[in-house]
Amino acid sequence: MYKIIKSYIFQSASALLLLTAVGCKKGTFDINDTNPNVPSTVAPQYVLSSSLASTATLVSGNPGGGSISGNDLFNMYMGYWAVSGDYIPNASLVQYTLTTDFGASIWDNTYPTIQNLKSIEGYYAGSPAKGANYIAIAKITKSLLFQRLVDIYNNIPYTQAAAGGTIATPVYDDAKTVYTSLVNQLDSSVALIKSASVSADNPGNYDIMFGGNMPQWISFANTLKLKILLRQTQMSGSSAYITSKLAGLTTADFIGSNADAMINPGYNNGATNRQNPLWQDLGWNPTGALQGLSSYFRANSYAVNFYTNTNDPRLSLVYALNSSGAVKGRAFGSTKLEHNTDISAIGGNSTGAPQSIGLLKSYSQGSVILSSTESLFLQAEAVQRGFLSGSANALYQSAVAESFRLLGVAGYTAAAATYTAQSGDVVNFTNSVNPIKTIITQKWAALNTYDPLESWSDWRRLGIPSDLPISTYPGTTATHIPYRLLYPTSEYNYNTANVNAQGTIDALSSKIFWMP
Amino acid sequence: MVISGIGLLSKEIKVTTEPLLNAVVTTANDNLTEVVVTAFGIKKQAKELGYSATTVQSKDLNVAKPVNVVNGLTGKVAGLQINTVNNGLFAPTRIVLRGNRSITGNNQPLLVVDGAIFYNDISTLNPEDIASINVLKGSSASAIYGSDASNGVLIITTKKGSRGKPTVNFSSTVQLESVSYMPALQNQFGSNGGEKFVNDFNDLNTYIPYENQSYGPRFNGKMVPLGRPVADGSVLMVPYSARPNEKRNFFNTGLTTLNDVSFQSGDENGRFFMSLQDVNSKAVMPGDYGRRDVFRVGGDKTYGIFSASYSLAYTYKYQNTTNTGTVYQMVMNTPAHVPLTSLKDWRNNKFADINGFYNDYFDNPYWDIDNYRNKTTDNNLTGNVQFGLRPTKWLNLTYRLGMTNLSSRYEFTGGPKVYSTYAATNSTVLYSNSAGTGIDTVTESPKYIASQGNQSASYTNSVYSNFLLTSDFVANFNKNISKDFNLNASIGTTYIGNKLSGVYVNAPQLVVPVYNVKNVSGLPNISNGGLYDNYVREARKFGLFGDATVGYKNLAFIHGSYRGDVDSRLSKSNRFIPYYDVDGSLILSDLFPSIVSNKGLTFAKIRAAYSVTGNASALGGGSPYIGYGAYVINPTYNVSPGFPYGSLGGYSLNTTVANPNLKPEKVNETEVGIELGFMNRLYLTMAAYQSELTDGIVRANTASSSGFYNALLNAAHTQNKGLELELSGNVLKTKNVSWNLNVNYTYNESKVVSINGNVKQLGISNAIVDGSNANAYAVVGYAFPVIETRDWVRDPQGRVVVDRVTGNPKADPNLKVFGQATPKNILGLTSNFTWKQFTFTVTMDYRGGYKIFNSIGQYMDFTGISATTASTNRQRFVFPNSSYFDAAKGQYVANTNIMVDDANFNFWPGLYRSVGSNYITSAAAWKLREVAIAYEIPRKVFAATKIVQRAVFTLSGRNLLMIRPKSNLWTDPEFSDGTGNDAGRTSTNQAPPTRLFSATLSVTF
Repeated sequence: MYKIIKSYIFQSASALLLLTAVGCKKGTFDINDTNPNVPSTVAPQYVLSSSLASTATLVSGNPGGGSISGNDLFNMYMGYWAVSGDYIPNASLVQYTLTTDFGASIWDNTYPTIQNLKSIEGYYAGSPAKGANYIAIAKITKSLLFQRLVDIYNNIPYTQAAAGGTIATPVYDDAKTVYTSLVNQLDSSVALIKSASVSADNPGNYDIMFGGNMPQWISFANTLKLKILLRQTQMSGSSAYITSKLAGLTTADFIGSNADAMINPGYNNGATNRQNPLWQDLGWNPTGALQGLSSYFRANSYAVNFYTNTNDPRLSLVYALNSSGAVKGRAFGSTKLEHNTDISAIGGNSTGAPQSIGLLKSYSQGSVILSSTESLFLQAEAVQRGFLSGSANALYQSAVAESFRLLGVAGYTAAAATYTAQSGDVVNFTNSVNPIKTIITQKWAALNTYDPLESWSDWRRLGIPSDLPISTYPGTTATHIPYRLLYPTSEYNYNTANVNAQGTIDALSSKIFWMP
Repeated sequence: MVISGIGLLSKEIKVTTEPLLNAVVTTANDNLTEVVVTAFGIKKQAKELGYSATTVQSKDLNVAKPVNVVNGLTGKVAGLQINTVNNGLFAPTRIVLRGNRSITGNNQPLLVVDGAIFYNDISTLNPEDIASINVLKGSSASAIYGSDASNGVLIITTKKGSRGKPTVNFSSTVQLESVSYMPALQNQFGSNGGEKFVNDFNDLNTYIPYENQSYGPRFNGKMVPLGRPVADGSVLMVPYSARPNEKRNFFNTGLTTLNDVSFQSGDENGRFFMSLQDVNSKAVMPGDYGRRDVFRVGGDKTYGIFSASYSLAYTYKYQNTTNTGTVYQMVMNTPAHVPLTSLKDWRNNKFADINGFYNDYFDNPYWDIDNYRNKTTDNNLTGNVQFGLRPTKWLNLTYRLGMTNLSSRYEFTGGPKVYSTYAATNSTVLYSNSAGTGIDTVTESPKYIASQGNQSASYTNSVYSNFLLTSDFVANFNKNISKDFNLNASIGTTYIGNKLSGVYVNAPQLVVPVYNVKNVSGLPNISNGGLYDNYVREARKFGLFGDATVGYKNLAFIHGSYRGDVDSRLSKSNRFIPYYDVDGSLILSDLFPSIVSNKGLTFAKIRAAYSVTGNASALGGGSPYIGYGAYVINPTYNVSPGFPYGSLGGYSLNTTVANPNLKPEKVNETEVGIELGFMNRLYLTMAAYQSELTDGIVRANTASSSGFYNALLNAAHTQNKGLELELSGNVLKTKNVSWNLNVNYTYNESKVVSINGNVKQLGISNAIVDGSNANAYAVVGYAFPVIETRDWVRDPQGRVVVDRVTGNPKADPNLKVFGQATPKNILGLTSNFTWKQFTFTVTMDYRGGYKIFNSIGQYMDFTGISATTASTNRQRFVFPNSSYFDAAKGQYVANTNIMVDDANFNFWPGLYRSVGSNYITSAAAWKLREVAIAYEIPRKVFAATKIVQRAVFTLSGRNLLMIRPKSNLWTDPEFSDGTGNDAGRTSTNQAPPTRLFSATLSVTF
């Protein structure tokens, strides 16, 4: 008996040992492959909506939330905004002695957005035909973001950037090479959309810019390409390249009238982070209190004077009325005692109540990514320079009219015609001795607050406006506004070797490759 | 429990009702043939162990009747550092063996109860249920636990019953707790917070009646108004003189009762144990109370070759506390002349309600106590069953199934705070005139806190559950394979599965003060870890292990163990990780009998061990529970800011890159030891160890151009080395007298070798106070952790540089390392002296070689209530050990006559307080931890009853005395702001230290 038990026990013991070992079924230890709390993969439309929303913040909002965060800087440099007299300004800001913190939030927020766009491409890596539209949208949006980085920083990490976590310290790529690649990316995106089958996935309303309208993405990509190409006009021998890249395109291929590329996921007043990004920066929070920076930034007297001198109806749409019912600006860097009650706020909205006109219409307004007016000015310049065929004058007139429309000028077509019929080559194209100057000056007047980076780029490329004032703050030694931003602190801390390989950067003398 | 050793007769471990008269401080080596329980319930002779292990028995743990068994362990084991980091109910503790190894992971030992891994707080155990705790100090001892092994193990064995006549034990304890040390206070100056410049310290008109800062005129005993006039126009008049004990009197005498009843019985085939303990406690913090009930049944049974044992415990724990930090701050806030304790009745006393309370900036702490409550209810169920099969003498099969289940509910209710219109608008303030002979009526802005508006009620509710299932199978072979050789080998498998889940809701503002989240005001914002959270986390681990000891003639032993871990948290390619240990011991006294003499050396052993173990807790941010580490290697998408817009969803990638290559941290440990016995009654154990942690997990910042902000990496490298000495035994033994002594000494030195590439330091906690940025850090080249904070600007000779004109020193904006935050040296001493019916036990310890940052000092210097701020009588002074820069000479010159330009409001609260180094002191302290006198009532007293078998009356005290350096003006340096790795900082969240007195009557029937 005992012997039987013994042998039985032996067998069962070894069986038990084995059982507990393998008894754990296949998959027992795979339970952590899927996180039940947050998704490990999400359908691409959710990443697309999120990526476009953060793109809107990068292009038209204040991604870092501070006063030196990015677009705010360009608005100040370009004579649109000034620092309120009720605040003691950051000396580095008003003396142009930039630190690596200036604009860092642009860089730090752009790359993760690019990473998300790349993950959309990754999602369709195995089924590119099915994902043609998504892949094209991701590529086009990435091109937009990369161009902005090049225009701010020159050489940037590109080929190794946002590589899904596989490359912790990406190397920097030559800015011109990046530009060339972006143009190719845009071309291939357009080709991808054109050849996409009807069964290819379409993001529909998750495409919070065009609602899944792919022809609009083609126009957007072409306009972006035009913008990239025109940036290079001052580079010697660039004409042939620009011409070749615009071959086959007509003005009908770009964003035309009343077709602003705007992102709007459904901005609302439910919470501050659900408002339009520009409204978040300069408007009112959901409880009706002014956002912090609404009081910090004020109208710049340079732009105020420009609009006033040209009898521009946009004056009170771009800036709010002060307590005495007038628009009044302040010089950037001024130390004069001027209170906010006296100097106009930005936006042309005095109450915070939603309105149909002005820069700041409502918390629910769309974010302007590439406006019709900007597209038409780009086209006017391209025609003027002979890269496209058409009437530069007609495009110029439409461009101004589109700016009037965007800001809500009543009877904008007639008002624009009256405006551009005034004398002086800052308004009158027909009689202008320097048509490029006229185009770029009006482009500057049209892009106030909506695309200050474009204006800054035009100034850096063409020196227009030529009388752009520099800071009047005591101790300012700079004789012009900065040419670029410094690479951000995060690069010097965590991508040290690669950023140091770019050498010493001086914001006042180091140039972007396309600058003359 | 019958267990067998090598070639020995079966021996029973006496674990239960041994007479106190025989109490000794037991260590593993005082009985060389003693069998100790090691990992997975594998039993071994103490003498064969190649590594350090110290066993502490029940009676030694319960000398001073601790509520938390950890308090009974403190000071008794070399290599073991226990910090009771706060006082109050069920005070949290931190247990560390052989120093801190992991920077971001857990450094506390694994808890094993009755052979099964235990996933509850050790304070849920009834100390009286514990038969013994075997402390496996090094990772060699615990290597068989693989990736849970590197911090050592506490092997806790619960009582299973006694053989023989059934006994019932009843004991009742009353424990009183009182505040033992208050921070050093000044009792000379009353209120002023800079509203009026104090030029003349006798000018009572500069006394500000509603201030919380004490930078006003000197006390002179005259009657002055306190606070503002209340709605009926009256004002509280108080003598302008200090009440030195008012703050201490704010705290109650805590009262804890412990009632224990246990029953045990058994015969040679089985035993049974049952116990119930009820702990009811009122803390020193007014209004704080709690309760713990533990019910346990356990037993075993043998039928021939079959055996079974079980233990099942249920613990109920309830705590009801206020927000200690804010209340303690408010109390310390109180100017010395304020009769705070008379303002307790905020419901009826017009000067005590929130409108009439004197303080313009803070409410009455008594109001807070009654209106801000934290309630935690824990239900713990722990159990295990074990089946044994012993078909032959040399084979033993054991299967064990264990579980712990904690279900916890936390609730916070706060406010509402509604001020009267009068309080929010009244602008009349009554001031004493300069001489204190009359009252000036002045119009000012209204009471600050009331004018800031009312506060809605708030509510938090969270429910948490933690379930652990363990399943172990061990086959043990123990056989003499030849005349001289013995093999004791085990192979086994172990499985643990852990599931954590929680729901958290927070309603920061309620419309009506009915505490339910449905009453939340406005739209709740749903975001990660924000107002709402819910989660499930689950992980599993499987281990395959083998363990073998070969003994030669019972005098030389070689032992090895191997463990392979399959861990669900890791990626498939990393999933199987092996760990191992090799150790050996040699009994020199048996090998060379000539060295033995009864009057001298009676035993000598040398041993050595090497092991490779792991620590995977950093996967879960340092939690010892494996579930927390689940999913860290997976990429995840989070809801993007602002989303969803209506039904439009949006997700973005987590900005911490998922690192699929992440693996557990690795610890290599080398240990050598020597054990000596003298005259068969004194034993000396010495151990030296060195351990290296590599692949330490850190959350590294990454360049955003990589697309991510952070990454979890295996990058850090730390070292620990140390020495442990234990001397124990019987010093004196006569017919009536017995004196046992245990002296233990621990030395530990740690070093951060690298963190991540060029990264020189890593903050491991958030700065708790503004200004000084005092924080715990891992810094390359230093011990771990160290405290960093700001210092004064100093000259090359270390003197504080003052401004030649103002005499003021200047804060250096850079952070400096101020020394390690864990003790380098620990000395423990336990003496147990028995004379006839009396037993007198003392445990004390010393810890030294480390620093502590006391943020309460900063707080008190802000309010001006600290002794420091009155150390110069508020008169200008030459800053001690200072110098100034003499530009003409181009050098620093000793400052002997330039005084700081103010030594009152313009110096202490701002400049002085901003320099954290002023609040760093040596953390060295001697502590008298336990003193107990037990009297065994002579049998003849109750012999007539024939029922009572035994009765013992014990008086004991805990933390009776603490000796600190003079520079430590503040609190107990054992305290810490948490139980994590970020030791070295105390704040107002730790109420003042206390001492406890207990009386226990224990009767056995």
